Amino acid sequence: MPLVAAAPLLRFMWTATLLLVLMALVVVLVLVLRRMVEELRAERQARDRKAVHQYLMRAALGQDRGPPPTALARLDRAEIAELVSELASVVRGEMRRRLAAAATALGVLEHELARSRSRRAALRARSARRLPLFATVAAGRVGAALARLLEDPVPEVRVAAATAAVEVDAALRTRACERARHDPAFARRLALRFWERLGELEPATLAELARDDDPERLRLILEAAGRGRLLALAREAVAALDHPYLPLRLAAVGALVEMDHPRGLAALEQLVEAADPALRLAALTLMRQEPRPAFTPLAVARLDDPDPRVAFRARELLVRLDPERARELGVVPREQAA
Amino acid sequence: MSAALLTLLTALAQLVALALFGLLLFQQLFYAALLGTALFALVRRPPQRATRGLWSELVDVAPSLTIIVPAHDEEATIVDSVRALLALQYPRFEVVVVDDGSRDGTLARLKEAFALEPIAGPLPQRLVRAPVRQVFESRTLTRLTVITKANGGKSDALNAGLELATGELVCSVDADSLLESDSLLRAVEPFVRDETTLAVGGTVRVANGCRVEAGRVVRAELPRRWLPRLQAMEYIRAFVMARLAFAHFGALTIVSGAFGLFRRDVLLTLGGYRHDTVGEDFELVVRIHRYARERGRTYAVHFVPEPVCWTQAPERWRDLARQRIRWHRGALETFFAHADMLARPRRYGAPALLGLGTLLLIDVVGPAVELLGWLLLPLFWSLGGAWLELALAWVALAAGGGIALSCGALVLEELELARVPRARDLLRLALAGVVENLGYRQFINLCRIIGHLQWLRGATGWGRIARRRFDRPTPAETPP
Repeated sequence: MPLVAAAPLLRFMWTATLLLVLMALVVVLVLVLRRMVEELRAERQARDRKAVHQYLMRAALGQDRGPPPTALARLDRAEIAELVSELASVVRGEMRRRLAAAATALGVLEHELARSRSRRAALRARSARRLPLFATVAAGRVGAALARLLEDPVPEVRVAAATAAVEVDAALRTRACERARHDPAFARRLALRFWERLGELEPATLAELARDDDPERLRLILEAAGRGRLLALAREAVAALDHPYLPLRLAAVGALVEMDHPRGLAALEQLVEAADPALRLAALTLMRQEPRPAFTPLAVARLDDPDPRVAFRARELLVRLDPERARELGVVPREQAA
Repeated sequence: MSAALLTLLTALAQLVALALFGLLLFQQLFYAALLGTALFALVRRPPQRATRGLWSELVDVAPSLTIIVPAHDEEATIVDSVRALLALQYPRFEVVVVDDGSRDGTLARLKEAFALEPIAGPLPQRLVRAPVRQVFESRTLTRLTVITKANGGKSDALNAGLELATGELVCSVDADSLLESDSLLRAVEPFVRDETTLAVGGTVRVANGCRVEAGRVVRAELPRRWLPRLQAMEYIRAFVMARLAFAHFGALTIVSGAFGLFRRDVLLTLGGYRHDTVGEDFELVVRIHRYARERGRTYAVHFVPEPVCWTQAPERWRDLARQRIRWHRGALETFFAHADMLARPRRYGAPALLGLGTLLLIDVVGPAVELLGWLLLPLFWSLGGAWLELALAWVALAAGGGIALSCGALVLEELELARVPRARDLLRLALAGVVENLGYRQFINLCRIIGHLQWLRGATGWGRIARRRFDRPTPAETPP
């Protein structure tokens, strides 16, 4: 009989399963105890974090900070690094330099340099973003680490390193630009911050890099130029208006509009009159992103567009731009308007 | 009856019983493998950043996003939900609420709360079946659009929202759900890091019992009632264990309708959500896999456990049954619409083999096997001898295995996510993991079987589930 043959196995299985259940419940109980201990420690940890935060703040302000609080010994290096990173995002100039010095004394620079060699790409990228803080106290080591990270096999790390390198010094910035010129990772949206910072610091270099053949890279550069209202790149944006790649043309129009360049509105006018409804729709979507009074006539012109999507977007834009005019033109139904 | 025939029949009965046991064993081993994979995936991911760090990293590069909120008779929760959505931390987003032919005061409440102004004239409705009646813009908030249309079901409502969406990404959120303030930032990360990402799912958790103020969960709590608490445990197992493991193998075929992000261009290319299924979220993700694989496109569908969407779980057995029957019908509709993918595993790979294959074995065959086993248990027990061993092994594997898996999921949750509010809640959840095997699980399996029968009969429709305002606790949840 098959069941009789399987009986020993079945017996083993139910006893083993019951043991497994018992073990699982014990593990959960251990976790509950662990959590209880953590709950008891949580208040002290919050106090420790506050004490270390205050110590770092006093260090950044250049005030007499006294001996390091005992809380420093209780917090692990990663937590201190997190606190330093939070403070670094709000301090500038001399305060930043003092914060870097204090953090270095606490071993945070060593921690970040070690993390820049981590096997996890996300940790290397995070380290790259944090290293510029320490450029004032350990320029050589930070530069070497960022130069190494610029050659990292993971695109996200290279982009993070280049964005950080732009902040550090001219030599590293040149190196980052060289990398950005050829690396396809810099044609991805991930690199937008890099192009923005480069545009803020060296608009001429950005304009030079904008004379590039890669339409995706150029699109990002123009988006960055638009956000930064970098008129230095207006010529490149105007040139891109005739590019066959539609997303690039739209980015050029968007950039020129954001720069308040006269060609921006003219290009928009041209786009809303295009024969292709997709282009008219794209123009109205572009205007909707940042509505301006100057767009009102363009929206009015498309209220009766044969394509219902375009006509709807025009009506919607007009309600946002000029509700009174929308009522006058019947875009808001009369009974509702009353 | 001759002795030989009786022996033959007994041997046959034993073989059938062992086969049933074998299927149960396979199911539990499969779940154990998922648990191991989820542990591996969780341990490998980098430590999570604080919201502030994430914001500064993503603020410039985060793609624009449209949140679509389909709402049908949601007057109790809609204003809170929309307020909470509008207050989310994300650099560029808009909210499109679609009132799908509500018969209650859903639209009136929205009009009153957000000063809505109608836009006249014909409206685009390429993807929509039921007529769109009106589109409203808010006089006070530029990021809010409300569409009101005749009732056409959730898919139709989502398609109406998709039609007017302008973001690069769209996020579908149920009107009875609440997102944590940083959930969009966390969910959008895979789209930024990996440009081949087509869809991302986040974790859904049970909101019953949580303290909600101004449409936001301000204090996470476990439900006080047992039924939603059992579901809370079930959700942890489903999201922390199963979805993470499936995503690890590139086989995630479900991105919950309560909270999922998609590339808008892909959704438009696919023609939006399908109208002929109540499992539109599942079907859409399977179609995304299909679309990408048929074109040989490199793509990814990710699951991120950190972004949390809180949802109201049914508090009555009847509502739970309706929900689960509908889910199962939706799963079957999707499975049979795409069953051909299973026949071509080389072409459709992991989503077909793991995603649809699991559905067949675990969700279609599994409930029947398990329920049949429990029904036959008294008979096995009464027969004694080797049958008794089988009965004991069955109880141990079905109930004990379930408890061990729940505990395992809870361990993952605590070690890697630590979202259970307090130590005592961990204990309560562990207890729920034990209790759910003594009736709840069998009830869910019964619902699945009913869903199966309804699907065979060609049933349609959603069924109505009672909702209440988030900030109004039920009597059982009112502290003494």
